[in-house]
Amino acid sequence: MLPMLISVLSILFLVFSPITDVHGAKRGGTLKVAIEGEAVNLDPLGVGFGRKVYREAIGSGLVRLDGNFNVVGDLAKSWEVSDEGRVITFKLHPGGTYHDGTPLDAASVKWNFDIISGKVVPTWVKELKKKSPKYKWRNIFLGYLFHINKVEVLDKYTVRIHQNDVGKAMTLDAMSAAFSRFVLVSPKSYDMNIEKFRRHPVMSGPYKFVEWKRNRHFFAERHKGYFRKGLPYLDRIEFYFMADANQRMNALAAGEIDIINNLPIPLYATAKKTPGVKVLVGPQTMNYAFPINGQRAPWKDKRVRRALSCFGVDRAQIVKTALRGLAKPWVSYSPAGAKDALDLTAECPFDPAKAKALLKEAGYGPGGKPLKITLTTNNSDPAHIEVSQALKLQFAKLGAAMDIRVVDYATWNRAFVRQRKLQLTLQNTLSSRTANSNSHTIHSKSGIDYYNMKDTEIDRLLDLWRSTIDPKKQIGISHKLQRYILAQGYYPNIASFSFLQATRSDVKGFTNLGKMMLDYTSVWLDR
Amino acid sequence: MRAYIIRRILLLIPTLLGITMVVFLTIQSIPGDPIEAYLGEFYEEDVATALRSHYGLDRPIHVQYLLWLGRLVRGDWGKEVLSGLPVLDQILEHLPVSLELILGAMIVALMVALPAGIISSVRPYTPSDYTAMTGAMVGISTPEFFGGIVLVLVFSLGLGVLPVQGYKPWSAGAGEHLSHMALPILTLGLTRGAILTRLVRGCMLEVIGQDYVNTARSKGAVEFVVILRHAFKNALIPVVTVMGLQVGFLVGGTIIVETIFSVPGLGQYGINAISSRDYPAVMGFILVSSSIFVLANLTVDVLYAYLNPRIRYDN
Repeated sequence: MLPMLISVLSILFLVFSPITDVHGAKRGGTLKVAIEGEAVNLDPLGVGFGRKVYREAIGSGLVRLDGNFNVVGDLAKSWEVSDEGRVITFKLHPGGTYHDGTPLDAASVKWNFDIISGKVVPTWVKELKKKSPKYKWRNIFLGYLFHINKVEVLDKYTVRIHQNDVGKAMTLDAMSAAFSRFVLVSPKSYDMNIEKFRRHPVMSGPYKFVEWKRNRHFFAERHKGYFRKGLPYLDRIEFYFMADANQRMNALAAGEIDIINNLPIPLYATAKKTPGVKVLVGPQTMNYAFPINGQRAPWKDKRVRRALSCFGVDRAQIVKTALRGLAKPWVSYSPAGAKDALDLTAECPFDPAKAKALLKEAGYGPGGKPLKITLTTNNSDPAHIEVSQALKLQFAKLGAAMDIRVVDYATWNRAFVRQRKLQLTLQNTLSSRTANSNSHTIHSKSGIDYYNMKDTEIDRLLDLWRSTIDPKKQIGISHKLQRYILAQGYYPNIASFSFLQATRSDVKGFTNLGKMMLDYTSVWLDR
Repeated sequence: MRAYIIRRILLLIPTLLGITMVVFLTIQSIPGDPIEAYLGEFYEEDVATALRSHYGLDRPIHVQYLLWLGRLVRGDWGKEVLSGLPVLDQILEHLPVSLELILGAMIVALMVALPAGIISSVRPYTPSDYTAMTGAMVGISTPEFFGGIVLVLVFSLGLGVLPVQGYKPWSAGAGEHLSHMALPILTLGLTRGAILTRLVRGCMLEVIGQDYVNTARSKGAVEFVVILRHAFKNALIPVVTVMGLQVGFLVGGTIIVETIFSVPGLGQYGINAISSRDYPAVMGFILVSSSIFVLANLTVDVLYAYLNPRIRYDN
C-alpha cells in the first residue's frame, strides 16, 4: 500500500510542480517590466530607448553580448573572419522562423543587410516616393554598418559579408552593442505595409508581439519557432509604461512588477533596503561629462580647455554629493568599465592654482578679461541640476562666472546635437565597450560629431582603429587616442558610472548589460 | 433660456478658435519639431528635410494652421506625425479615462465637502468644526503629487489593499478597474473636497442666520429640513460656480495624477504630445481640454437658473 501511495504522490508532484530545466531554471510565468520611456512606434529600424527595450525582447540579431560583454553568437552559430578582416562568413542556427512563419535563413539576412545599404528599397518606401518625391528613408543601422558593401548567400544557412578596410574592425562590435543593436525584421511583413508593422512588428526574437497600447503596455509571448531551442523560459513578458520613477520603485516594492529597467541614482538607496528587491549594478561603462563646444570661445584656447576640464574640477566632491558616491572619478574618454579603459585620472588632479595660472596665461582673471560661460542642460535627470550647481561653485573659485540654463530635452537636443551652438553642457553618455563605441560624436566625418572637436588627428586614430583587426593593437590605438584627447582638453569628463537596474529577488537569469543590451531570453521566475 | 444656451454654444467657436491659434503659435515658437523627436539625436539633415516636406512642416505657420483648421472642419483631426495614428481615435481612447477620473474626483469632493461643510456650519467653533477645517486646510495645502505619494504609502505599501499604479479597463472586471482608479480619484478628489468644504461652510454660515431661515424655523419646520431645503439650496450658488472652475482645474490635475499613477488618460496623452512636439496631437489635446473647461462653465451657468429662479438669462 505504502509504495503505491508514494508512487501516486510522486506522480502528482511531478505533474503539478513547475517544469524545471536541466540548469534548474523553471519554465513558465509572466515577467513584468517597468519602463520609463514610451516608443513612438514599433519600427525597430528607428531609435529611442523605448523602442530599444521592445526591440530586444522580440528581436534577434546575428550576434549579441554575453554577461562579460564579449561578442557571442545569436542567430549566428559561428563565424569566420578572412581576407585580413574584410570578409566575415556567418553560419546560422538552422530551423528558426520569424514570428510570421517566414524561414529565418541566409536569404532573409541578406535582405536585411540590403535594405541598410539601399540595394533593396522596401515597397512602402517606393509607394511613398510616388506620392511625395522628396520623401527619404534611411535605415538607422547605416550609421554603423556603412562599410559593408556586399552580402552573399552561400547556402541556406550561410551568409557572407564583404566590407571596406575602414570600418571592417567595428562590424561585430556595432552589431552587438551599439545603442541600436542590429536586429532582423521579417522581409515579408516589413516590405509591404509599414503602418501595420509600426503597430505590429514581426521579428525573430525569443518573444512574439501580442499587443501594444501606447503609454500603457506592451505584451509579448514565447515564440515557438525561436532558433535557440529550449528558450525562452518565460511564457510571456509584459512591459508597463510608468513615467514616474518613484512609482516604478513603489510598484516594484509592492510586487506589482518584477524589473525596473533603469533605476535612477537617487533611488539606489531605497531599492537597496527594500525587502524582496535586489539591485543590479552594471559595469562602469558610461561617463558623466560636461562637453564643451570646441569651435566656440573660450574653448578654442587649449589653455582654457585644460584649466577647466582638467585641473579646475573637484571630481571626488561631485561624485560624493550629486552622484551619491555611485560613480568613479574619471577623466579618460573610454569609461572605466570599457575594454580599453585607461585610467588617466591622476594626470588631472584637482589643482585650482594650476587652473588659475592657465587661465591667467590665456588672459582671463584678475587684470585680464572676465571669463563668463553658460552651461545649458536639460531636465531629463535631476542629477544634471545638482552637478551643474557643483560645477558653478567650483568654477567661481577659479574666477569663472557660469550661468546655468535648464531646458527641456527636445530643446537641448536641438541646440546641442543639431545646431551645435551650446557653449557648455552636461551629458551622461551612452554605454561604451571601447573608444569606438560612441566615436560618431568625435569623428569629424560622421556628420553627427556634436562634440565639435574637428581634429584630423582624432579622425586618423579612429580610422586606424576601425581598420585594425588585432584587439591588442586596437587597445594601443585607443590609448593613444585617449591620451591625445586629454592633452588637448577636448573631453571634460567627471566620472564613470554604472547603469542601475532593480529586480524582485525571485527573478533569475537576468544580467545588467549596461544599457547596451537588454536580454530577457534566459530570465526565469523562481516562484 | 434656450436662446441663451444656443448663444453661449455659438460663442464657444470663436473662443476655441482663439485658444487653438494661440497654442499653435506658441508651440511652433518652441525649439524642436516632431521630426527631430522622431529621428532622435543621430540623423542626417537631408532625411529630416525630406520628412518635414513630406509632412508639410516646412510650410509657413499660418498655412499649417489653416490647413489644420480646414481638416478639422471636415471632421479630420489629422494624424500624429510620430506614429501616424489618427489623432481623433487616440483622443477618443484616452478621453473616457480622464472623464471618469474627473467625474470620480468630483463625486469624492462632494461626498467630503457637503457633509463636512454643513456640519461645520451648523456647529461652528465646536470640535467637529475644528476637525473639519483642519482637515480642509491640510487638503488645500497638500500638492497632488505629494498627496498621491502619501496615499500610495498608506493604502498600497502599508495596508496593501490597493495597487500602486496602473490601469485596468472595465473589461478586466469592475473590481480590478475600480481598485486601480481608486487612488488617482482620491488624490484628485480630496484636494477639491478640501476647497469645497471651506466654501460650503462659509456660504452656509452666511445664509443660516438670514431672516427666511429663521422664518422657516419659527413656522416649526424640522431643523433638518430648514438646513437642507432652505439654507443649503441658497448656499449652493457660489459652490456651483467654484465647482465649475474646479472641473477646469481637474483637467490640469489629471496630467499630474495620470503621470504619477500611470493612468493612460488625456493628460498623459497631452504631456507626451507636447514633449515630442507632435503638433496635431497637441492641437487635439488642447481643443478637447479647453472644450471641457468651457462646457463645464456653461453647465454652471445653466445650473444657476435652476438654483436661483430670480436669474433669467433671456432678459
